[in-house]
Amino acid sequence: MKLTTHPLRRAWPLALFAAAALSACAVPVTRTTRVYEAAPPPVYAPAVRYGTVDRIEEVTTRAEPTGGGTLLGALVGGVVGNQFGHGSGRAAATALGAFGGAVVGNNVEQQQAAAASDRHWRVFVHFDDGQRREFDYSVLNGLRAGERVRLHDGVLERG
Amino acid sequence: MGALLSRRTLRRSAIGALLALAGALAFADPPATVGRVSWLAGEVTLGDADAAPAPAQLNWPVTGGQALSTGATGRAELWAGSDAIRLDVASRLRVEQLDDSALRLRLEQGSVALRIATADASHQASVETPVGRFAPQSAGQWRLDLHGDTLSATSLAGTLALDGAGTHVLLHGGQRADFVLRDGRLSTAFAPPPADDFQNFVRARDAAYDGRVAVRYVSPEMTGVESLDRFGHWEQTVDYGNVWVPEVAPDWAPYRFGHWAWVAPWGWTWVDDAAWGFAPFHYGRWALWHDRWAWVPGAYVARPVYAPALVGWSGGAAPAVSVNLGVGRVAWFPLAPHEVYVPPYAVSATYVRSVNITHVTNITNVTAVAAPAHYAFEADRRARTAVDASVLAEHRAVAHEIARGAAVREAPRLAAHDGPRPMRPPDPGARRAPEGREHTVEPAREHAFEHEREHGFEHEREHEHEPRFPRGRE
Repeated sequence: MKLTTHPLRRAWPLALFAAAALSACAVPVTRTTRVYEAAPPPVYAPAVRYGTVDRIEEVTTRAEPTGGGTLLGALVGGVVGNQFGHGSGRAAATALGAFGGAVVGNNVEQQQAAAASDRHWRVFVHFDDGQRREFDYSVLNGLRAGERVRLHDGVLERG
Repeated sequence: MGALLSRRTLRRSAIGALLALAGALAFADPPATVGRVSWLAGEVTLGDADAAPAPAQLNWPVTGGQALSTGATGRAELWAGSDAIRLDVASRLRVEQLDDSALRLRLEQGSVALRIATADASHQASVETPVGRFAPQSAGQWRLDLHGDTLSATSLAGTLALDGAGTHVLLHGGQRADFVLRDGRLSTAFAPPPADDFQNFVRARDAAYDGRVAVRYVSPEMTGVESLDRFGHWEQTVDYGNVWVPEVAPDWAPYRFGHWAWVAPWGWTWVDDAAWGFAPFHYGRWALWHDRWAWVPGAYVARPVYAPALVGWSGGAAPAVSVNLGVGRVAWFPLAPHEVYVPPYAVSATYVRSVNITHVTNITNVTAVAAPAHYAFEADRRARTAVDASVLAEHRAVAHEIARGAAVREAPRLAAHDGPRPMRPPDPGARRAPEGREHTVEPAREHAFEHEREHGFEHEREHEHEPRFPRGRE
């Protein structure tokens, strides 16, 4: 790598590289060390993100006869509002949904019963970009750990 | 007299031809450099000219002639020495050549990201595309996207050269160009670098690089060093020099938690289950050090030579490909430090020396290389693994077979806990809801307080400690 041949505006990764190499000198080095630059975290949120379901847990919340659902909804609404500025408040107004919008229609009563009950499923997703997030559903529609999923405009879909 | 001469000449030339053939065979050594499937998710298939595409597996050795394809949500990462190759969803990449002299790829569809740690004239990397051949001119990181007839080339760092249709284009860090080949002419348009999920995936994989400590002890050109640091630690020993001690369960043994696969041109190849299970099973030796398993990479060499499995087989010879025809048991054990590895595949004397050089340096004559009469681990129950021959032939998980042999009745109970519990079966009496109701149940609740973007990578590291002891296959 010849620094001199590079214009200044292109030299910053090299400067980082050099800085990292210098800091690596502080630790005992028995062999030639190749410093691997750590990438900065992503700064943009694409519309479509891919991930894998890590695990699914059954979550039980203590159901209050009157306001249990509202309480949970408010909690989740705050979280959703934190996501890239869209979808805020939507989940708060809605009962716990079923995974995969299109398939759920066959059993609305069951969903409503599930939403009213204190049981739901928490889906842990590990996105390919390194991020981990959790999604709560009243109905899983057969979603299993290890499945690939896609987060499309804030909605989790089967891959 | 004349007839005699001609016959003698004939005989001589025949011998010469035979010798030449033998020489050619002897020097057709398998490549010393081998790639590895280091990460995969979703549908990923790997195939070559001889075999139909089959689902790709973690730690599968990748060599020239293979093609890697991803499905609609599949992604994959390969490492070949210090070079990283990442493939996006719905992509197809052919590995034309992967050996000691070159890494030649062909992008047939979709997106590939390439990271080259060293720009070495003796080891050229290149990617063929419909618009021409891209070749890195320095260390750096690039990305190629082929959608329809448009090829986008992005340089994130380093210089990338395109040679195609009589054109020579250089791309520098931060530049992207879109190329279209029409009527034999290349049209070029410059554009901002892509900002999408694949780009974030590549960044996350870079951040997950785990070879910073390991490359102090072994060459960065050793495929698999990129996944070691998190799973063990290095010790300096009097007996073996630098050793790497993985964090494993007490009953763990090398070459036990994975499966065997027949991979040409090497033959029986160990495919380990562990995320770190490549370098320690294809280079170096294993030792029991203070009653713990330690990987002994041996003497430092710049370009270590890959071996399919550094084991000895009970009974002497490695099993043949037709092991399925035979019944009975096969047993193997890891080679101990300084024990010679005798390749079961056809190789030259030079190859035998170089594949052993990290541990055995006194090989002077290849004909003198024979399996030693006594192996340190052959009779050691902690090291020796034995299964039915069919386990090899059917590529079954070794540890699973051992567990099944030990406790057959445990198996059904374990299977019941495989994966999440299924949801309640739908009520058969339920009515189908009208279409318009869907939106009321569609969005899921999302929890992301503690998983904000700026902390995402740290969390990943924490969480990935969990599946540290892979036990067989699920």
